[in-house]
Amino acid sequence: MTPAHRLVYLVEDDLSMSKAVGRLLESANYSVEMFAGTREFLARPPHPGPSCVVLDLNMPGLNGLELQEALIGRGRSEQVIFITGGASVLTSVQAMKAGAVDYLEKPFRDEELLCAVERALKRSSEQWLQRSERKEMRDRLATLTPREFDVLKAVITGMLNKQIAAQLGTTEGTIKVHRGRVMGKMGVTSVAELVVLAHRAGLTLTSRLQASQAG
Amino acid sequence: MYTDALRETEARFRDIANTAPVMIWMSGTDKLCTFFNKGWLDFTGRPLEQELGNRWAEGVHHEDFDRCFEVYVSSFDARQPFTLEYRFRRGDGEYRWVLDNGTPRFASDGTFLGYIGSRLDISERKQAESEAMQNRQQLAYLSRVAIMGEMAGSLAHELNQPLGAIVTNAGAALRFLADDNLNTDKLRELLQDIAGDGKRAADVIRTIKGMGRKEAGARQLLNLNEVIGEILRLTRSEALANDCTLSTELHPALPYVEANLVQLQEVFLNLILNAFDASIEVPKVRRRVIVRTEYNGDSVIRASVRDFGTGLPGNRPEQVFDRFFSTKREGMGIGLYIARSIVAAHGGMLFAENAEGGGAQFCLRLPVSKETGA
Repeated sequence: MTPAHRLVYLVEDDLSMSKAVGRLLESANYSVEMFAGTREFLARPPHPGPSCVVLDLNMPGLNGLELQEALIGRGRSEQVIFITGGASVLTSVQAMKAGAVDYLEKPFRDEELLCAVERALKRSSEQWLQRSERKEMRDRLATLTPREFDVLKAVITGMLNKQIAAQLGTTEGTIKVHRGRVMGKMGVTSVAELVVLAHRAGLTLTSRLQASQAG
Repeated sequence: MYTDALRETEARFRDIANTAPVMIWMSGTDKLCTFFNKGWLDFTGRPLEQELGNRWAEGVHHEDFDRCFEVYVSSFDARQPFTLEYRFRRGDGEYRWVLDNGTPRFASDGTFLGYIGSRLDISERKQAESEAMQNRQQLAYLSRVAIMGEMAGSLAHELNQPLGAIVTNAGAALRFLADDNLNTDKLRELLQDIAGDGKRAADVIRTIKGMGRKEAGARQLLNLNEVIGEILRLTRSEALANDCTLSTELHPALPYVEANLVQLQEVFLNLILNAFDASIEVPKVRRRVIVRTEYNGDSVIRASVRDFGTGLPGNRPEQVFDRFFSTKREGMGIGLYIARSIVAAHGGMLFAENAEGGGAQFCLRLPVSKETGA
């Protein structure tokens, strides 16, 4: 990963704890951005790439759990690691249920935090990759003409050219041409690949059918 | 020249004096005693002759003698009434605490005639007072310990914070060392932070230890702002847990108060925790607690703890100081009662009112120490 991909946000109101965790992350070659409060962090525009947040659970104003909720509500994908001075079972369960990567009680060992950060960044970059692939596929789908889209819908359900031609009221030759263009635009060479891509783009059979029915 | 009427008046006085359940004495203008009633002589078990003049003073406990002598003489010379408490030997040899009230006598033309005084054996009362004080101290101690128990979670948090920073800093330093990436400046800063956090943890422990001590210790000259500061550090996590914003408006140059550190801390701890509890019923954005100290140059320091909660019982706000009055489910209802008795024992006062703009305000007045602490 490039350094930009190893970005860690640190939200901690205790100055000396914040400095210490900042140093530890730097010693492991992460770039760190520190925030003294949850609101300051929320005000920052989201980073366009994988990142994770080391978040103190007990903070004035919006607390850690509420921030986690706010992030999810805004569709932000930062992976969250909670650190806390006094863990209660209830909050830890809540935090993990809401998708936190880890929940560390202070004082924690340095490896514990660094492993958690590594896991979080891995999860974040996987998520990021998925997202960018999906976006790319969507972008490609958007270049299809309505007719080509109809053909795509039919192809990924496994229909033959002849059947599609009959359904769309045209010749098999025309369908062949459309199909060639669809494969080209989507950047694939086989029907199998096309099905996978369509799936990654979030186009499931049902949603596509619903979409076509609605259209 | 004695007339019959005068003789009769004097006889009547002696009758009354001798049947009164107190000790009565009289002295002339020369400070020497001229009369002791039966109650007195019964107490000392000595004949009148052995008491007259200043021979009675043989019964005063030697530790109290100088003080009594000074007050007696100086009041006498100023013709002022006086009140004295001292130990006095009873006929059976036991020293008893007595309360002595002396008043100057004047003739109708204003001529000074001497003093008359009455004396009461107050040993039982003294004993009861000291027992009551011990009970109050015991109660204050139990209450402190109970509070600290309830706060155990947030106290742990207050300790884990600096401990966490220390462990993490040390971990970072070792990593930098392993990479040969630790210059002197970085190392110095890191060690300073570690030392600072170590002290911070030690401070928290010291306060907790003080609160857990059974004896409240001696009075000393204290800056109220510092007393409050230590309690604020202890209650920070508790504030977070209650979603309360805790802020201060402290007078920058308070004179000293002569007080017991642990007891004053207990007062503020009680007031602040109560303020958090009172805030629970209102929405989070309104939950604020303000601790204030004020001083305007006179002999009193004012302090207050104000919340924006539901306020005090409207008809009788002072009811919160009653023993076993509690609006909390888990409260023992002695916190405020103890707080008030502690403040009273320091010569101050503590009262409660509903603040303008909602919420309750607890106001504290403490006398400024006459010593400067220099």
